Amino acid sequence: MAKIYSLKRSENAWNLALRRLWRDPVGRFSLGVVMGYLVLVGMVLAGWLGARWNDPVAVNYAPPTWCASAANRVTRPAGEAWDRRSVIPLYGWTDPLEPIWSEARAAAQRIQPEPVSYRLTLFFGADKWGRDVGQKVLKGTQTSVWVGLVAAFVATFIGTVLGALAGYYGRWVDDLLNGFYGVLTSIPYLLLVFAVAAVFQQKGVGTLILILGLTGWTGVFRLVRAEYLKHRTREYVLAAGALGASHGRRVWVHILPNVSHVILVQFSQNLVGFIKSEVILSFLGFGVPVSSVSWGSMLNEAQNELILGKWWQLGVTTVAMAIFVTASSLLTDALRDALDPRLNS
Amino acid sequence: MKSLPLLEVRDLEVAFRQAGEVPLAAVRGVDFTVPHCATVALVGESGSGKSVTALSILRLLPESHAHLHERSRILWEGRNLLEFSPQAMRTLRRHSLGMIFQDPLGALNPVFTIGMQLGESVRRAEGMGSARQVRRRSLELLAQVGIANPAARLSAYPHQLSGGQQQRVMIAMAISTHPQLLIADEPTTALDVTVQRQIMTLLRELQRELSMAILFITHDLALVGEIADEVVVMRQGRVVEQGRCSEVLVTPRHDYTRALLTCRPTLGNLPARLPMIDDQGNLMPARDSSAPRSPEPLSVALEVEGVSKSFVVQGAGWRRARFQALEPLGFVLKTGRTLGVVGESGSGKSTLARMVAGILAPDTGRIHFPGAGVPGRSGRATQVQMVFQNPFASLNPRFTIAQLLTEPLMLQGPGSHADERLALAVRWLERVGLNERALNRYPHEFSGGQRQRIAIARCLTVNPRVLICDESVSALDVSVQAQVLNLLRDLQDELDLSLLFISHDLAVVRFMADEILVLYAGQVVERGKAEDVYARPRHPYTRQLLKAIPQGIPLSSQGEE
Repeated sequence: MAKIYSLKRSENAWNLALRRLWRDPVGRFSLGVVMGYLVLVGMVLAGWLGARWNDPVAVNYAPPTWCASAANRVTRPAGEAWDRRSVIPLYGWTDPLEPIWSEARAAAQRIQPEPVSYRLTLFFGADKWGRDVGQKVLKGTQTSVWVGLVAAFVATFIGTVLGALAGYYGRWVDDLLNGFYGVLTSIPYLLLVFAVAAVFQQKGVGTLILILGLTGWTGVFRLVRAEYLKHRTREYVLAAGALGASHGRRVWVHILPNVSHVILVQFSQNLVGFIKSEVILSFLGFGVPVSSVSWGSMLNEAQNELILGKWWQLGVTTVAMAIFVTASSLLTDALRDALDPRLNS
Repeated sequence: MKSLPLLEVRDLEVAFRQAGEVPLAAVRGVDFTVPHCATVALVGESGSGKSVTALSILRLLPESHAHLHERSRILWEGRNLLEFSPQAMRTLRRHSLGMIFQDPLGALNPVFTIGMQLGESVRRAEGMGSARQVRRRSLELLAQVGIANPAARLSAYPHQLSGGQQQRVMIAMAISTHPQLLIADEPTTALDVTVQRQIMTLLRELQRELSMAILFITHDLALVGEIADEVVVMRQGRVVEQGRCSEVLVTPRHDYTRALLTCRPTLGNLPARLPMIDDQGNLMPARDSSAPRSPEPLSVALEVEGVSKSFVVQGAGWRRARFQALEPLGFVLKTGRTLGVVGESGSGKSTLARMVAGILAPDTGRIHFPGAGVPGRSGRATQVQMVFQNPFASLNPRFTIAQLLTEPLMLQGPGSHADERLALAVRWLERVGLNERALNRYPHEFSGGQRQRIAIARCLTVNPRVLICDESVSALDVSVQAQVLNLLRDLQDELDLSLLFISHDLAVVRFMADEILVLYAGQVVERGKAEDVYARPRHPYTRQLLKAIPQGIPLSSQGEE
């Protein structure tokens, strides 16, 4: 009686969509780029890359190697800073601090520090403090993408849950949530973000994620609600009801997989939007603290550097960000095409 | 008749191509001729290529995907349509061709009034400029297609018209060009029987008045006899039989035509089981049925007393009005018997079904399953189950068949262990003629008939005593319809199921039902034993319904019958 049925499962809708995405050259390319960035973010998070972004390794504003002509290294001789006598003339007086100085000199002689060498040029150039822009952009990419990803998760989760409840139950639940949605969307977006930022009174990646997540769910809510409105009277949902499935089961087990493509597209759209928002917030000084670096804070620094003609930090950051945002947008479009059978006529 | 026929389709082959996929042949070599002023019917089930054939005559197929074979020719009075320039094709469409579609609401633009849409096609066809002239011609056309009070209708929006009126407007637009050929693609399939009858009469009259040819596309052979002179029967992109309507319908030569004619129940012919069509298109004779029904007194499976339902609809301004979908009604369904509920759209038959299934709560009255105590909401599921109209919509597309079939078992209890539930699911799958290979597949991999059988299997897993079939076979092709109807009767005999069988199709209801309930605008207008109601209808509405059923008798042989 207890026969085991372990046959290979047929290809489901997701596999089909993935295959359609893979067949689309734009989709395949953008998926590759986005995946590459995600791998990079993972490596930075693991500490394999960009860990030394905060170390001064070059002279300040060291230009990129490929557009500098000078020799590329300056070595500061050891102990130079300690030779005080060469700086201050004594005019026959006896220095009252001389015993302490000589003791310190003796100690310094014993230590014999390695000669610190600062590079005159770096491949990506250096910033005001002599930090490597290449290292900084790796770390900044991690911060920005991470903020975008987690915030998009938070926003999509809130939007999906509220949208599903509003769309499925209708009546007063819908009225209430719709009212809340209406109030929230009537406030100008940046104003709302600043207001939430002011409430948190604390800079940091966590705060940024919360700000973006708590303000950005409205688009997901609207679309998920509309999908649930459409699906709740579909025959398969009625049939599930007639079979005795509870409301919760109908909402989360039956309908959710059928609207998941909408949610995925919204997620990737939010991801792009939030990364841009993070940049704007950091640029305006509401973003990451000075102890951290993101695309936004790098662009913020770059505006002063640009006046001095130091364009490389701006250039590198812009390129890194433009590639990711463009690839994500293309991927969103390709995903929408792959997941929506109606467009595949 | 002129020497050249109006339209000749020669060796038409159409294949659809999608990037990276094998081309799909939709039409594989079709030949037929439409003479001047004649009606030719293209008949076939879904996937037979009849609509693709019609669209390729209009050259409306998407050129990026559809590929016509070099050999194919479509001759319009001797000239090959396929070689026309876009300009010449437009002229032809504008002055010589008209088309009407299955879904008139979808074919009319919802944001423009009837007057604007009709006026546009009038202006195109006649090259008329003055608004008054256009209006006069529009009114003339509306009157010609039998729309009462045409002046008022000109300023109406499509949704304010009934389905029949919408189709009449579509016909008015099509004939505004004085077409030589009218292509009608399933023009009455979405309409009620009585409206279908009116539209068919209208088309026949218009043909005579305007002396145009009609290419009538349908899946319903019975309808063909009412209008066509010649019939072309198609199956899987090929013509299986063609000839004079009176010959093909009375003495069909091909097995498939014969099958199409006999596997659909008719009022006069009531076998216990219907003949079916196998995959090769051959007729399989009906099996001998089991013993006749037991005449002994039967227990009651379902009792409905004074049940009514009304819905809140948007009234004028802020006010909300109530719409009475169903007046209080009551009936009794005996164990192992079938109650047929007949009515047109808006009669309240689906509301009734949903209340009995427990999806809607009745405003008044009581739905009782004797011998089951007072069933709660989930207890209801083991008493009554419902098979929905559209098997493409009633199965969750993201569930495998195994998930679909075991879910009710999990929710309702029979079978405590997962393997046990799966074994039960397989048993039911086999009972409806599928096997365990189906378990891990998704609904979209099955045909309409197979899906409907899966839906039936899902209902039966919880051993209900009453099965509601709400238009359960209406969306299926006739051959598949026969399979499902036979299956339902087999299951009824085997399990002593009681069926509440709801349909707009009187012939199908006659085949299934022991007793009949006729609903009209939320009220029961007639009830009784099936044979009595059909033989001696008392209410005028029932009589009208019965008269509207297409009989499938060719025009020319009507006198002899």
